[in-house]
Amino acid sequence: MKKFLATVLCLAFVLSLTTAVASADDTVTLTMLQRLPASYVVEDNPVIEAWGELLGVKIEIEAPPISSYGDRRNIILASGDLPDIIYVGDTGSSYAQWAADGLFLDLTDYLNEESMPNAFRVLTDLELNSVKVAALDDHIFSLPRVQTKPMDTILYRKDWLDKLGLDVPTTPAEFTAVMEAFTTQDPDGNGVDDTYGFAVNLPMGAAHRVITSAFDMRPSEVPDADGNYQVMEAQEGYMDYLDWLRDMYMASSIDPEFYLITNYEDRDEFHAGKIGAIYANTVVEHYITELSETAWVDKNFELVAGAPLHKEGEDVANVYYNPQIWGNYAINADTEHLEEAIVFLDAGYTDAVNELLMFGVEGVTYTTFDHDGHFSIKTDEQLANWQKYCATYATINYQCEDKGLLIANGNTEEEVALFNEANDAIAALTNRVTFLSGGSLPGVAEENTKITDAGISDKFGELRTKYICGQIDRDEMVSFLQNEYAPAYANLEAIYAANDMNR
Amino acid sequence: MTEATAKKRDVSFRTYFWKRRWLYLMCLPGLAFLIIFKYIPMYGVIMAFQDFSFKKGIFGSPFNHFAHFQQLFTSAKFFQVFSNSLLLSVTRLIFSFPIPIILALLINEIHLKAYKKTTQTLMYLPHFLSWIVLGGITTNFLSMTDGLINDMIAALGGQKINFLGSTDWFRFVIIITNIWKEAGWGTIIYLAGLSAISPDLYEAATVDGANRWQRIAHVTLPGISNTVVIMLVLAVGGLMNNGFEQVYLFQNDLNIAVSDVFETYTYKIGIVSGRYSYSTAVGLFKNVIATALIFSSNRIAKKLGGATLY
Amino acid sequence: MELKLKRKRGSIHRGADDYAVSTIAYLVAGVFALVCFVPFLLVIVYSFTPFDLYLKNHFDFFPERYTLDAYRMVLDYPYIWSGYRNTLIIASAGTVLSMILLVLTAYPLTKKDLKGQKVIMMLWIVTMFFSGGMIPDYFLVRSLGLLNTRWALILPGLLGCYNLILMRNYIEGLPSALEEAALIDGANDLQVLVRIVLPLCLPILATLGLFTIVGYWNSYFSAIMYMTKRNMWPLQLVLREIIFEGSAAEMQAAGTVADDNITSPFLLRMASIVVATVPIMLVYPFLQKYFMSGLVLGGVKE
Repeated sequence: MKKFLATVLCLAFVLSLTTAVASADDTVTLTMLQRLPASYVVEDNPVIEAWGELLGVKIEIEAPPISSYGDRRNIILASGDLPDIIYVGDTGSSYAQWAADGLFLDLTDYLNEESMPNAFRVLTDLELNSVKVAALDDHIFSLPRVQTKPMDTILYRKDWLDKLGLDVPTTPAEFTAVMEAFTTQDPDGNGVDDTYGFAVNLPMGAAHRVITSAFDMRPSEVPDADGNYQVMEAQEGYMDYLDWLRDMYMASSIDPEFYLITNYEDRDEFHAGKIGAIYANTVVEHYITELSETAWVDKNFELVAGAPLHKEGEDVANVYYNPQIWGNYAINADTEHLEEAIVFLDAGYTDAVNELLMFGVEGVTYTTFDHDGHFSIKTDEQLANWQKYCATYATINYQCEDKGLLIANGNTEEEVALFNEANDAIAALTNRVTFLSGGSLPGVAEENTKITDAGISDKFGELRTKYICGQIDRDEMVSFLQNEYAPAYANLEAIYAANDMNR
Repeated sequence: MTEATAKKRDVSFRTYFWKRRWLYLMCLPGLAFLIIFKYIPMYGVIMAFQDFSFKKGIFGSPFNHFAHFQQLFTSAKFFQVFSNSLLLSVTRLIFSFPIPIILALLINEIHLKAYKKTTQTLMYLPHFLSWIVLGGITTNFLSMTDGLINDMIAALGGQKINFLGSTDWFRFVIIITNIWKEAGWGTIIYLAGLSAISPDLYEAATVDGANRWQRIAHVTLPGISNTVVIMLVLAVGGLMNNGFEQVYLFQNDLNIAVSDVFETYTYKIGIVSGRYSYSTAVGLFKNVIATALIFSSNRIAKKLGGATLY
Repeated sequence: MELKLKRKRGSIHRGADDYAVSTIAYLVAGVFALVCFVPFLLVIVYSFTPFDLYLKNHFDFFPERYTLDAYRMVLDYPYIWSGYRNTLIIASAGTVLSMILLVLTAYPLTKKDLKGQKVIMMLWIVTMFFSGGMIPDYFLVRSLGLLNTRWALILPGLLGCYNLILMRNYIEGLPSALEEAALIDGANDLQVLVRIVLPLCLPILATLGLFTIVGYWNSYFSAIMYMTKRNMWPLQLVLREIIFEGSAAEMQAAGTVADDNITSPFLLRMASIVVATVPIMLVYPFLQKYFMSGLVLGGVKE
């Protein structure tokens, strides 16, 4: 009996101790599903701890494999085990479906000066457009991760231009001439005819922006002066653009096997010295960034960035951009820590949090940090830590409060100045027009599916490539575009018109 | 049935069961595994007949009955995708199925142990390489601008062949690279079967006066015929599958008319609209066809007196 | 069936046919082996070649410069060693359990006279084609409490119908005389299995064991579904991440990230292939002797 009492007393003592400890520490723990690179260490991460301290919470992050993030996210959404904060990474029909299912918290009433002042101030209507769910009265169910887009450029081989006495081209005609020179005049001086001008990268469609602006083309969602919508490929400028490519192909200025490109193989060709121009959005990075031997730039190449091509007779290129939304974050509709989650998400739009996530903790991941220049000085050990504890993916908003770039290009003041100078020079030749793409409008996903299922997209790809390669004639191409392609998009155009897109 | 006979049947069943109890016991772990991990989750198949909603789950989502299948069958692409898939896999079956068998037979005839071991190990290597790697190497070989093969053709005075960008050569490229990657690995199962042939049979044949060819024809081949038939039946069951990675790698605008198969089709659908239950429906359709194929080929195997699946 | 004899009865000397067959065998096997070796050799060479040199010449076996950067990057990744550990545990435990289960399940199914055998076989074959999909699988693993454990990566794929069919087929091909003799002598089915059949099954066990271990070694998708902690990722998943990040960094890096170590995904991929596949390839030579063992009938070996 004595023994029994003794054990009971001991147990009670231990129990009371633990509950005392537990109740003393009742900081809220927020769980988060985030998309982070493989090099990011989630356990014992001083940056995450500092993040939590800043907001008075504990943060627990689950970071699924970035290469299959969607699969893991889908499982979590289907299983009902949602964390408090979720990186959704989708603003299309799946997102709308999940919002309709009530998985995400409706943020519309919180996005104001009182509840979420920072997000409210930073986000513009245009940026919020992608996270509004039209089917639910344009309510907002997640906040977008916006990125300030640097300039789009075309990178040329400066040493080739110099050797042949050419200037950086600014119009399509000049471009054609330079491409031909690159192909026929042996710019690398090795006596072998093994170079081309450039390679058309069709899959990475964004590339078009840089050279298509010179042909008076508008995106399909942008109406003309009279308010009519026409799918881009059916516009007159598009055939001019295809003709231009075809002429270059027939003159052998383009890599004849450009259709094999599925990813960024044209960059490989560029860095192997096979072609002389590629689409890029680097302005000076190629000569201020230290690259390891496994990287792609041959240090002997000289590169120069040129502005997007503009029309003959004009001096600025009209380049159409969507708001750059690189993901979105939602709050679990059934979260138990609503207030803390709201504050947490809102804080992601402040410079303080972004700088913490991008640059880290002083002493651990950097020695000094320049607030205005947005760059930091690191020792080798700090660099190693920086790669483990910081990542661009970790940020909730990918820009500063003043819409500037979150991280500067360069590691010293001189490099940053160099970048800004070059960036401004290109900007002077570019007129950026922001437009909204139709992706999240109701009915658009179904229409796109119909078009794909009808085989129109495949046929278009086939004929376009064949036309550029000179395997079919102009009449056939025009006939397809006018009689089969354009009619298939009539419904989409009607949807755009009904929604007054980009008027 | 009188009570006496019923009791007798009962008793005889019990004695039968007791006599063979070990065999039944052996079945148990497998059955447990089967039921728990394969049959309990089977209800997911009904997703093919639903408009799946993540929140409502499988048991709460509304049924759209055959809407997905209707969409599949009426899509203009369906016939093209179906025929591409089937043509590709049947051609591949015809040309690449015999290769591992022939290779295995040849390896079996090598008596120098070191040579045998080395060639075998080397042959297995491509199996471990992913398609991305092999695809890249293949592209380098077959490219029209600087590929080795085309350079050789040009040097011999011929016209360069567009292997990678034409509908004519697509299947050829797929099959050859498939053989390259998998034939070596495929010999393993046949070699295992070959090692089970009793050496006595060979000796008997030799003593009887059979030469090398005849020994192969009358001892070796019959010895592995069961394995061959089983592998063939299984291969027929896999005729609806073409392996996403390989096809996607070699697919481009110029050969899309023959290169779009089920796997790439569902992948593109997924990108365009993320339709979860639609891809389940396509998968279900493929599997139903595959089941029909395997049951009929098994029937044929039975009729021909060979080994069967069940 | 009459054999058209090509030689005198009783003669055992080598004839032209022997040389013909041998020559063909050595030649074809040798050429094919070489053709298979070349891509792998290239992968190894590429993993040490600086990228610009690779781009200049795709088939340079002796590049003028070597670089260890790719390997350094791969082996420096925080989760690579935990990845190795996880995969080793999963592959070895999984294969051993799988083989045991395989033998136990296949043997009764070879007894065509066993009541219920056909039904069980049918149940298995159905699973070859029909499955519930990701979501029901997830719910099952979750309700079994296996989330975030290595069992979640071992158990669901423990026995495949493919292996079962091949095992069953092999056992059926064994001469039944031995089993019958043992049964007459009074052994029960279990003893027959363990003492008689099992030793004869070494070649097929080695074969299917090899298939299984390679399968476990290469798997990564289940980990995406069932693991929440990064240090539970298997090796292949870690490597996929490294490669993906290499290319993603390229896509997102331009102009916005002063990443001091931009690495081409190509070299990373080559290095990660070597890191991932060399261990598993070393398994084969160990198993080779079991492939060669052959039937031990009468103690005659090849």
